[in-house]
Amino acid sequence: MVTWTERVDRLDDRAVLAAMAQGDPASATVFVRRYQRPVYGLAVTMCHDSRLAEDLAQQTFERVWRHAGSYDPRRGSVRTWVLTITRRLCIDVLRAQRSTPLDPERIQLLLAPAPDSVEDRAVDSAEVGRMRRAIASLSPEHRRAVLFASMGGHTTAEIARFEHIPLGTAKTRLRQGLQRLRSQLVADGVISAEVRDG
Amino acid sequence: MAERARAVTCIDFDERSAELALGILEPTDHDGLTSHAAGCDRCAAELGALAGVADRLSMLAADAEPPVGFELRAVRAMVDSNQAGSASAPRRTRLGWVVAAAAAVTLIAGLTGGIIAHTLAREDGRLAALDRLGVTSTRSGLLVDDRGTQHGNVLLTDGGQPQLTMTLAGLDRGVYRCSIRRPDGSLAGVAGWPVDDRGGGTWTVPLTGAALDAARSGPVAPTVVVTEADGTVVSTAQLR
Repeated sequence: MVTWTERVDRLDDRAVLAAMAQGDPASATVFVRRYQRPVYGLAVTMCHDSRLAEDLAQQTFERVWRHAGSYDPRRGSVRTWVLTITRRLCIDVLRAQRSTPLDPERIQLLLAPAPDSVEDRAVDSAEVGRMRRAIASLSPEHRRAVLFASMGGHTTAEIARFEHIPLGTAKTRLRQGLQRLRSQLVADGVISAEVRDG
Repeated sequence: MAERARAVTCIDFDERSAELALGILEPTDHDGLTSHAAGCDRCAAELGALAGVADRLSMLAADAEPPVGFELRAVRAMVDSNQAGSASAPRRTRLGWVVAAAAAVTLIAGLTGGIIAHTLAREDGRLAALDRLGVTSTRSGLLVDDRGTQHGNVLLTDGGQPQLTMTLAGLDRGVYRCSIRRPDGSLAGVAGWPVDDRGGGTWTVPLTGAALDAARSGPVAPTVVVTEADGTVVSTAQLR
């Protein structure tokens, strides 16, 4: 006898989200099993606090549950969408909690190869690898600005203070960093050259 | 601050667009910039381009194993949060604002394509004005047979490119047809799909012609009907 949860587990992420939008608890279980490691991994990377990371990971899944129907595949993969929710929750908490920069050594750790995971989809792994290569291709100044902002949740004013540079320079580095990343990702075929991504 | 919001120019926007895409702006700065992008195709495109990169940066973090019992706690919180949400108004916390802000970025970035952010937009009154700029509606329903057994679900999006996404599971091998029931009870065909020994799959098709008319024809949300090749009704989904 195949259970409903087992049936849902055979579905792709988009279909599982559609089931979640209907309030199907089995789909929630399947979704958490698939994404708890990347979600918790991002939260603990950004917060450096396992208890806080667990709380933010749980909040991420609550958000996903309530807003599953608003996912738009044209904007990117389900993985990207879920992790963006996690990152924004983390940024909000980090902003209220601390004023010290993300340790540069932790930035280097972000560029290390990810451990193999059975659950990783091949397409996701390939995309992560291309993201790592793209971020590594930036100059150290641009890379730090992008990672301080994206993974540390720091504002450009904070980046300017950490880097001992004018605010305008920090803003320029951040924007140029994202633009150069985009050019690299377009060249690698990760994202479309069109305005709309996905 | 409202005065500043009205004064935002494309040059101002360029200076802060990366911060907006990354979600690191203070709320006061955010509102003026998103309002500007809502009325400026060029800046909306810039924001969409940068947001596509910003979102993918989250993939850089390595996976980590959560504490024991996390899965159970998370699922319970998800289901409980749904019940709590139906019993009371959504909490208006700062975290809530951040997610609403993310929805705004998504919305702005997708205006040219009629992106779907209906649920999030509805949750935050500040985004209500953006509903007029092309937000589409989303309707969905569970497919159940006459014994109450679930066979999948249907998601119908209406807007720039109306489409229907259907997931089927637990069916016998065969060809199944999807139709939309008109108010008079007649069916407007959408498409047909073969189901193999896996018992299901997921399909997305554009809604056009009679099927689109049927989806829009009634005073209430339409019913989607799945039939076998001989017309026998397998399951139906009342969309809402």
